[in-house]
Amino acid sequence: MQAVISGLANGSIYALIAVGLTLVFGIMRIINFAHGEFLMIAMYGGFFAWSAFGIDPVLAVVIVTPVVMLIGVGLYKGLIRFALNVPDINQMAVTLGLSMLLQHMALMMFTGNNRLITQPRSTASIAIGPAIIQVPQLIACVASLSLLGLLYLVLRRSDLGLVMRAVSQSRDGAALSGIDISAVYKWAMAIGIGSLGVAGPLMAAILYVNPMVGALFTLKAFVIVIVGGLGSFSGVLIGSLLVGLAESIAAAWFSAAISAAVPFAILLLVLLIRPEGLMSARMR
Amino acid sequence: MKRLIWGCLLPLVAMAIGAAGPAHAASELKIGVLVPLTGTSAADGTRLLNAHQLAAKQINDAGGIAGLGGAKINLVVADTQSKPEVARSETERLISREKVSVVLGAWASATTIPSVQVAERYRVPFVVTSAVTDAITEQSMQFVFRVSPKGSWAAKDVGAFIGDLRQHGVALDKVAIAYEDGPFGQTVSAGYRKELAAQSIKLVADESFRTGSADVSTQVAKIKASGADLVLIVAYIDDESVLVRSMAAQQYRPYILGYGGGHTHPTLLELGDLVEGAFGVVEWMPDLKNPAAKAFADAYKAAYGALPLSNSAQAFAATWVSALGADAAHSADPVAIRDALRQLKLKDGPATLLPNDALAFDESGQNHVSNVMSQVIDGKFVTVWPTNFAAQPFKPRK
Repeated sequence: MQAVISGLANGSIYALIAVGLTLVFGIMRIINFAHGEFLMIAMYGGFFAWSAFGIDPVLAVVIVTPVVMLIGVGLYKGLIRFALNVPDINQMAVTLGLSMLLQHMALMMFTGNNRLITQPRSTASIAIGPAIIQVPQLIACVASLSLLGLLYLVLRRSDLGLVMRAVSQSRDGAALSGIDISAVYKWAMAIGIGSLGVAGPLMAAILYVNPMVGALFTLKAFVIVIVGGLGSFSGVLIGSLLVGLAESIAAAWFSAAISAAVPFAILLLVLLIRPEGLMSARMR
Repeated sequence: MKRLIWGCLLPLVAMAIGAAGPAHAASELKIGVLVPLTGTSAADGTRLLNAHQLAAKQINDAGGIAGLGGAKINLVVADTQSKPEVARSETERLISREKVSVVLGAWASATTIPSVQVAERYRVPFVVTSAVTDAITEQSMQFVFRVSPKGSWAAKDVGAFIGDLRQHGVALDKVAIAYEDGPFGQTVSAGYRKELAAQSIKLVADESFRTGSADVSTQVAKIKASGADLVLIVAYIDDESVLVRSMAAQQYRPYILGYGGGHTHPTLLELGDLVEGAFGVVEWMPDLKNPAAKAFADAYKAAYGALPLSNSAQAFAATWVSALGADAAHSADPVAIRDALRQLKLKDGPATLLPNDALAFDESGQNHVSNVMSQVIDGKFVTVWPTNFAAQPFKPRK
């Protein structure tokens, strides 16, 4: 029971991270290896908001998100824009290089020390039957589901969402219909990276912050995105809950090494049976 | 073309002649220091080097090495880049090119093992500062000395400490292990398991987690259900904070005992009340009740503005011990220094800052030194065991 609750909580936290990755990929066809590093920046944002100004991580979301969105736009304008029309392998090199650059810059600026946010809430918990869930995890869980819901509505109901889906289906077709591709890309980056502004402060309250923390999640986010189907929205939710649950149930039964291998076993299985990902048909 | 070949050969010939020339000048004692100054353990390397340099400065300021007619110590520093292959080639360079009389180093076991093999081949004494792999002093090498304890001794000392706690009336009947599932956690927890079995202490839960896990409540729930009174934690500091928080969230407050320098780390204290009373096994503490330890801690703080960590103390002791070896040998010759190191038995002086009665090397080159236990008391790490080195007695839980 505890394993199921923890798995669902972990899964929704993964979803919070993976959704931005899949959005950016779905619309721009760019694989952003530096995704985890933007998470790390957002986590530092949450940490410093708390340590310097005493801002609660939940409130810090409101401040960090716009900042991170701006960083996303800046990233598009300053770097990704130029990488759009080069071969895939070069794009990967750009984002991979960016990821290392950001890690080492963070190491220089913030040192390698772990930073912790300590609040009375950090260790509070709520009992659900025989299991418990820690309050910060619960908050992240709720935030994740609301963010996913919000993004879903934006994509389905708003004009921007319509345009984004159009670009995702066919870049050239959308351009021919008079859609400003560059503006759409800018928004995609703003939302994709901006979603980390929600994840960052909440994660900082759960975990710790150090320059390498983002890298812990990048790989898992990739697994989720591929399992769910690259660019698919509901796929992210299903993929992350699946990975989260499988990991924590495996941890309850077996050793940690096995549970760490489980997401990748799922990945291989999905690639064998349904190479396009579980939910990829939906997006098309 | 011929000229080119000669151009390449000449320096080599010159080097060969140089190597055959007078090897050890008497005006200085050259000591090679292998530390990681770049790469993954760069921060550790700097702390070690600080301690090596502090010792050399103290010796030189006091008039050098008396047995060598006041020869000054010259530390020849080599960067291992935290890589085994670089450590090996740098050891080679220190010995064959720089003609050092002793080599010190080389932080981790991975970089130390290839380095000691080179020193053994060249018949130059190698004083291991902080590497813990047991095997380093178990291969009957003739030129290897180690000031730090063997890795497996930590488990033994933890076992002895648990025995002491029980004698003092602390109810510790069930013990659990929570460890990081990497080489570090697996090695240490295996040692714990063996030691607990040897002492017939009941191991009621044995849980591992992946480093960087955001949630370990599944593992904590299982440990809590086992009713363990003491949880032995083997983890990096970041995971330890997640674990401790998760335990608090489940209203589970057993005794905890962390491992190594990663546990006695200022970050842990940020958890405040959650870690109050937490024990930790570590190789050295600055508040050790020992005049040499206090003198070192004060001198280090004055020179570098921060209290030294355990490995700095070992680097400091290694530097002093090499100088005293050369002093006793009245020679800078590596073999003479090796012979002198074998005979050394230091009961006082700056080299004796580690927690044992006398710094001496057995026939395998191992210094028989204990670990100490720290406890967080009023938000500070305090040495509470072994009793003769304790700054304060341990505090039972309220």
